[in-house]
Amino acid sequence: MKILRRSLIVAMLSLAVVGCKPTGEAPAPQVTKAAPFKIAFNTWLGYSPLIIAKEKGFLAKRGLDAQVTFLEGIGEKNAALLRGDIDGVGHTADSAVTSASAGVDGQIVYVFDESYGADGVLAAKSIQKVADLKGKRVALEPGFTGHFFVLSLLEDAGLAAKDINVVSMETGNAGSAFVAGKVDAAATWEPWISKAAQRSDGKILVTSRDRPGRIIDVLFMNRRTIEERPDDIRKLTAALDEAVNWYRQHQTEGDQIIAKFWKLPLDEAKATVAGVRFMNGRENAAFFGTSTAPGQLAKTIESANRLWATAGVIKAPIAQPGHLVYYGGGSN
Amino acid sequence: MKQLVAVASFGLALLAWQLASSVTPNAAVFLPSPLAVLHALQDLFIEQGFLTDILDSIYRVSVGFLLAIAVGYPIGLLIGTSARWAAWLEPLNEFARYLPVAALIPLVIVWFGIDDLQKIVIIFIGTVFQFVPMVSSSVRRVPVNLLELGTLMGFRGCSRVIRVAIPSTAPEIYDHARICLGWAWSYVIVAELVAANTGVGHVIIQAQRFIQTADVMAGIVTIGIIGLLFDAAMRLPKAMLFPWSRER
Repeated sequence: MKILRRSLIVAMLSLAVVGCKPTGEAPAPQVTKAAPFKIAFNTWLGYSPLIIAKEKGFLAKRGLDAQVTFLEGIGEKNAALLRGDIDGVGHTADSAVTSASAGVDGQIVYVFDESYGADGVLAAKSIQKVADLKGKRVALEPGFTGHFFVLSLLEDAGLAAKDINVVSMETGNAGSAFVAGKVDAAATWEPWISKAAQRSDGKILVTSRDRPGRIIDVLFMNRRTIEERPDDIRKLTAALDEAVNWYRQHQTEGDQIIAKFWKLPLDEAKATVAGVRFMNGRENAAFFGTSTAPGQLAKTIESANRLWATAGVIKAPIAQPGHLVYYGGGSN
Repeated sequence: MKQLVAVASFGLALLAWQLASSVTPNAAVFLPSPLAVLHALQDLFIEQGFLTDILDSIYRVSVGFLLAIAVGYPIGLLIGTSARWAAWLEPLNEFARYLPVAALIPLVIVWFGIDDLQKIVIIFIGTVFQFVPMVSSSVRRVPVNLLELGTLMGFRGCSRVIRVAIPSTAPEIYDHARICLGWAWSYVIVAELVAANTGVGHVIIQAQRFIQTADVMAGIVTIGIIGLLFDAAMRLPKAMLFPWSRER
């Protein structure tokens, strides 16, 4: 009977462990304020305007708050959006198309930043131009933004997706595989872009700086949230605008906030931030355009829709790519 | 003597690591030295609240593991002692045992959300189906003479299981549980790598995104150390819990 007693004790202990959680979270949202927006990011500091808006109180003074969680993959973000666990995600514009194709009903409400050198293609020195990639082994992560960038470059050069040998791996690993000399080229991101020269015959073939407007980080929100809280969305984009404008005036303090949040040494955070251009409300307005005269954002989405479908990343182009853009966010 | 050998084995491993690091070009990215990793570990604790992450991971592992044991043990016992239950449950369990846990993560997010519950479920399904056959095979291997002795003493059916099968297999199953705890740790990291705000796995993935290799290795080493400590914590009371068990 001893054993029985012991298993009882174990069972009770496990119940006790379930009952008490070490980090106490506030269970109920405050009644006086609007419920915090739950936003999931993958680990990328292009999304930092929201962090700054939260830290500097630009959200709080509008009666808003944001809870940031981390979901690294598109599949996981889609799952959480579909379940309604989160209100929105930090995405790239091309990932918004992937999400929509997976059945997520959402819209882009703000463009955080435009990649300005933080993403790119590394290649051996023998590869002079994009057309030389034909038949070469290119490391990239299928379905992710680097893949989209490569597809768009190939299209510019008159090549098809099948003209390169894709070696599929995670985007950061693509960078390390290139530096280690395992592949001819790689679509990757910072900090690997700056490490191209660590391979003796390595160089940067092309970066997002040469082709602006293609790799952009956006705030992609569930349509249900947008429809339920249109005023809060307008306030949210206003707070993001204020955060970006503030950052331009207070870069030193801003970089410290960014480094702290992403747990990075300050100099590394600065070097990485240099590869993106945060966008304020005015720049967003130009990028969005209007529903009658769409801007660059709609064009990028259309090209992602076309290229993803051709490359087989999505089964068929989504029916109305224009509906992925929310024009009521006050940024136009 | 045993401890001395253990220390020596760790010493040799560290030496090999140090040597490999010193001949690796650009070691900070590819293979930071043990000292660099120690330094990173210190920074993690002092500046970035690593202790909270560790406690969160420990919490998730403990709950998921205990649930798996609490559910897996009776099922394994049923399979091991009753042919009819074995026919019902064993094929199903064998099927589930081969499900790729990492590939289930998006599904588990759809079903259970993105909070602790989701990680606990991942740990649970990663360990419970492995634990069940370990229990059932132990129970099946109860020596026939012990069972006969039990029958002679008047135990039949349920009481024979309780008085003979359970106590005679308890020390071995306790060891199985200890092995499962190792799996529970690898699955919490898998779960945290994909979706988490805290936890050792989350620290590792964030550091990896920005090529803070020393931080990545510090996280991995931490898991190893926690594993050693948990293992020791489970080994120590064993003789006290099961005085009838004999170990070499």
